[in-house]
Amino acid sequence: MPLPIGGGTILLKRGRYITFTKGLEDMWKYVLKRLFWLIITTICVAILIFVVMWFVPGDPAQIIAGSDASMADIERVRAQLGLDKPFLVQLWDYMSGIFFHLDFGISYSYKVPVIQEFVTRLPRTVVLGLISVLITTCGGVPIGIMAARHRNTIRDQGVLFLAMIFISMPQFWFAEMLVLLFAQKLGWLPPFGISGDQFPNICYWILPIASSAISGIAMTARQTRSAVLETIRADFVTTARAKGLPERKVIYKHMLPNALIPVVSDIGTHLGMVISGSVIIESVFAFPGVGSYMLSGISSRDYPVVRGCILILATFSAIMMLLTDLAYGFLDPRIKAQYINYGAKGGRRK
Amino acid sequence: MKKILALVLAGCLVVALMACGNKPAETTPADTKKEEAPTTTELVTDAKQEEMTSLSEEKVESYIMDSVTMASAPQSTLAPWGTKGGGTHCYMCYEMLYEMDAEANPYPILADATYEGTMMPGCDHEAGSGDYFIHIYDYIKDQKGNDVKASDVAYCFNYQFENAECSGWNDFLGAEAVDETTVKLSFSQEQNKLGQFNNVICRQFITSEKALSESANGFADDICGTGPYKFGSYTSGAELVLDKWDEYWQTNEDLRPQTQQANVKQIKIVFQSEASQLYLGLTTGALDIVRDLSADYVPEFMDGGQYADQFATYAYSQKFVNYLNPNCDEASIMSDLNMRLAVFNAINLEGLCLALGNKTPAAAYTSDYYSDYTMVDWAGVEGYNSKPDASKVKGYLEAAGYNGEPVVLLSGDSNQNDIMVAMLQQNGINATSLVQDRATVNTTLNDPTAWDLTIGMMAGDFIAQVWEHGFAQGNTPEGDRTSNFVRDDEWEALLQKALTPEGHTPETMLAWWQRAVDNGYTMGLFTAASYDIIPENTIYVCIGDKAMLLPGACIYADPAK
Repeated sequence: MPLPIGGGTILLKRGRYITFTKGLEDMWKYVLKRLFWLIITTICVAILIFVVMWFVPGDPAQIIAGSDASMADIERVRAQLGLDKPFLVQLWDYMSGIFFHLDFGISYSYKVPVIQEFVTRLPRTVVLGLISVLITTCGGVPIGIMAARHRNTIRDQGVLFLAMIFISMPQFWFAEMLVLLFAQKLGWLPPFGISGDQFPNICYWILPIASSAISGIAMTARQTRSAVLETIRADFVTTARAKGLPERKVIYKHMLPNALIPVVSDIGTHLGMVISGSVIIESVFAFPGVGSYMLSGISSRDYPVVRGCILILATFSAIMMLLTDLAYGFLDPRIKAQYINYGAKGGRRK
Repeated sequence: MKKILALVLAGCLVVALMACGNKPAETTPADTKKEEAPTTTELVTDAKQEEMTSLSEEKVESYIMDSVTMASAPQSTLAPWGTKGGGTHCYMCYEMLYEMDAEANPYPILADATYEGTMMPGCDHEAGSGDYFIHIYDYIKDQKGNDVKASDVAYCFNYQFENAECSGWNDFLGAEAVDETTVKLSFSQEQNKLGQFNNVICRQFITSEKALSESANGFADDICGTGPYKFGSYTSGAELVLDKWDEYWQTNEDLRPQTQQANVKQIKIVFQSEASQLYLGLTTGALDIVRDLSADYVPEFMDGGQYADQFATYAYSQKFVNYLNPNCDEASIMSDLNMRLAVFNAINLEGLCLALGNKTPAAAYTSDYYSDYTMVDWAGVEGYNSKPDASKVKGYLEAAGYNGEPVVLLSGDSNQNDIMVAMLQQNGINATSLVQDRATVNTTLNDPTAWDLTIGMMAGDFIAQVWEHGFAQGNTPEGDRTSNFVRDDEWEALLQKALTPEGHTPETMLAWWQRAVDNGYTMGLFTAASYDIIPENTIYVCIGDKAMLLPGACIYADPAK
């Protein structure tokens, strides 16, 4: 009797059941191997960022003490911050703090633990980023499909024209234009900030999200259009149409999964940048996110902030890449087979 | 179709670029208003400012505003520690033993103004001794209800000295409580240099030891002081809300100066520094007060401007003096006096100020912001600060044997750099611009091979202090040179003399500047005027120490009338 197994796969024969579970097991091996390399990557990034910041010109002790401070004042500040220790001692303190205690240090200028400030700002940046990616995806993909289906028509040309404009347009300029229109001229939305008495709190998010999403929609639309055009003339699409399937089913069930690989790659990249935030958007709208936190750390040579933020971002990006790769496998069984093969053969390709 | 589209877009781009470069020279209403904007000199002696001062002294009753929203540069921390001062909120929520007035004279806040000390009200000091005894009121409380006694004052001094950046506290040994209302500050020597003692007593915010000990991070994201405003809420990187503290400890109005008044129930400080956003914030009602608004937008808020009925403009001189320093080290081409004098005589200060906008040429390395400015007639001192002289430039270049070697101008401001490089090039000096961020500039300055000229700015409480901050030899790693590699013991001696009360005379000040001019050690460039945009019903603008605008201490008229 056929037994349903997760994912809709039906057991037909005992051999296939064994193959199925073996495949799952190899897939997990693949994931575990990727996670192992993720840890190695994180360690390498941590060392690299420490070394880079070591050599970047600019003395944080002098910045904190002020340009008119005496050498004695600067040396005292340097000792307070632990910057007078040898390179290897500082490196060990830094690495052991992060990997053994999850302690990213205390910000020189904020005077609070880096992780505390980061966690406070992270939700805002993540929400802003995720909503932007969602709008980008939900807006860009259908527009790209529509443009591809009506290739060389007014609709297609219009989409290309607008996409080119919005991709070329500087983000800060577009943000300013939105503020001028909706905040100053119409008075519908606030010009900056994240809360206030004049408008409901949700209104403060609209302009930053719109500014952040518009270029993403344009890029995703173009990407989708190109990908769909590549598959629209494929034999299997012709066959599906010849079978009399509705056009909607031809597009979304047969064409789109094949066309989405590059789009998923693009979206995955955007997701990886979600928590890095947009420094420009955060500066224009006084949005207290991770991007502005990192920028302030860089300009003031706040080593704990820069190291901590970059390390977290690098780790997050690596996780997003892993999830994106797994999504490929979900979309394309051929890619999934490659992963399974990779996991089964101990990392060596057949 | 695509080719046509591409051609059309390329054409639009070309037209747009051409249009950008062809701005007409005719005067617009905005330009007219800029030209009519009063100069710095006029602002200082403006009759309205005198009227405002008298209003404050008379303690005119103010209308109590419900709320005021003020823009501020982003604050990385709320902590009040360190001699650099902290943000506006520190001066509204915390208090010091003494604060400084516009003349840099200390007046008592927590120190007992009714105690007639041997040195000044509230302070006893024996000449020649390194000990100072400060007497405080016996009824001070902080915003969490804790009593503030002499032991708390001592704790705060010692805490700041051990944990924060205390520039100029080299002689400080420690603080201790003598009794409940007397604190002893000990120094290794008497603090008799100009502003030296003020730099300690007027740069230390006070709170209770209990509140400070309970804070996990030294008030980095919290506030507990003795000032007229208390902590409301704080979103790091976004805003800070302060509420009027109704149980303010100083109930004797005769002992409560204007800076400690609370004429606004709630003050919201928004951290925003983008000039265009500040303008939009004002015009949309999101902001009530903006400090140092960009000159491009100020005319719209002045008389005759679009928003003149909603806002008033308060103009004042900044305390920063901008300078041009040559690298006097042997490794630099500027080690030659003739080269230095050539460069200084090539700079057209009037043109520079006009190009930058909102600047006033400096008669010397000084500013009329400071109380000791009037000690010398700086404009009457002969030197390169008066007018550029191309013939002199040519003569000095010939004397130096200049053959077109590159001269590197270092600073953090590309705008200033570009203008000055152009001026130097016009005079036959092969100047190149090196623009870096502030942190990198400070490091580069210690490398004598990396730069030849640098632009910077400095401030202080007196002109002599401004000079000390810029040119004291102790402020460099080697300790035997200034920041621009001048090694002149006589010049240093004149500076140290000018910092003493008895040496702070017109003769000494003039001698220092004259030596600087004769040797081409530095050139004062300009001071800047700033424009604050304030609510239209403001009738007195209260500026506290460190030129902080205190919205709670301003005097307001009833907006309904």
